[in-house]
Amino acid sequence: MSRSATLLTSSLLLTTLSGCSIYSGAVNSLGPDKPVSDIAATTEGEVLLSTTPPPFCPAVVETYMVMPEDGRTGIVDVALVSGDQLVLEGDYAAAEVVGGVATPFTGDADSLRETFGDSISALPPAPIYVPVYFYFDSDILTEESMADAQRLYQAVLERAAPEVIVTGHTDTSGSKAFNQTLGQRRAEAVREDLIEIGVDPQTITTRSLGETQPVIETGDGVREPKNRRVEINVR
Amino acid sequence: MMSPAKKLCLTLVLTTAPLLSFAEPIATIKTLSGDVTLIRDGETLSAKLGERVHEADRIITGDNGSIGLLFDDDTRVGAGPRSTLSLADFSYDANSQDGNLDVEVDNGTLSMIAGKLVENRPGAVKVRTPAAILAVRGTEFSVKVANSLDKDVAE
Repeated sequence: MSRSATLLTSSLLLTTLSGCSIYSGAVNSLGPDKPVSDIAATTEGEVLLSTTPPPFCPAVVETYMVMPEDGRTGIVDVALVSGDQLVLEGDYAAAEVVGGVATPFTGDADSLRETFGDSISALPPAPIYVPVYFYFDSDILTEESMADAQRLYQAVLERAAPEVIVTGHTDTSGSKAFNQTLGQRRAEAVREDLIEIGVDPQTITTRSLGETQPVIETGDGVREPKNRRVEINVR
Repeated sequence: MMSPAKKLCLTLVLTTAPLLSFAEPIATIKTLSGDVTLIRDGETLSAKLGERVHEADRIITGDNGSIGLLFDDDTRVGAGPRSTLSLADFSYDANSQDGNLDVEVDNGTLSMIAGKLVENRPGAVKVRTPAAILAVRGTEFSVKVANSLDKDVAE
């Protein structure tokens, strides 16, 4: 009993380790004899063997590479199906896996482009987060923020399939309810600017958080220019 | 104290909630070229720029196809031609920034720039290939899975 259990465990382990080739080998050699044509012996035709790997068990080759980053270190933990583990850390840290065995290497800009150029080109641009500020008790942008807003609106137009999420905020001067409405008015003001410049209204979402999420913590009833803002997220 | 009936009800809600969250929209198609097919609930759809993709969607790019996705946590994914991906699992709480993302790559190339999920919890994003599970601790990397049936690999 215990012996057959051991046998089972080890054969399972073997199949797991070298999986596919063992299995296909077993299927080919342990299966019933293949039927042979009566005239096989008398034909003089050439016997051709396929040189491509069996489609039943395609050999999978995998490559992983950390892309270069500014000021940060890319780290990827790799846990192979075989149980081996490795860590890819830093720009161009890479590994190639053939038949379940990983070989680490260090790539470069050229090998990155050659191997992954298409998928890197397909990456969408990073989402943008920009705050714009308003005058006290108003939905009019401050002069400085006007320029920021215009630049941002242009960036929206340059994007493919843009979505804009506009969140209005206020300082704590005035009642909560009043500020909820003021925040919404500020968000709507930005929305109207965006529509005017040609952004599809259906891609703009507005909301107000009123005075609930100040950038600078103040007591109630405090005028604070940094808190009178709309946060614009372009996606 | 909670009555047993209430307890049972709560348990049922808690255990079935994850099942109900199946097929939520989780990312937007931001770049697209060539032929790209989505398989959703057994139906085959052609991918369109600006449309949302759902959890459990399968994405297949053609010989000239590529696609770029922006997930709701700002994770960005690009896939090159002849790629097959599955968006196996995604959850993201915008307030706590907690959750997880699992993408399966059966074939082709994938590049990823991780977003808030990884910023909040290194390892929250995983890429599964036939040979390995890659846990992302920070933040930009690429994966290629080349099947020997691929013409350009068989040489």
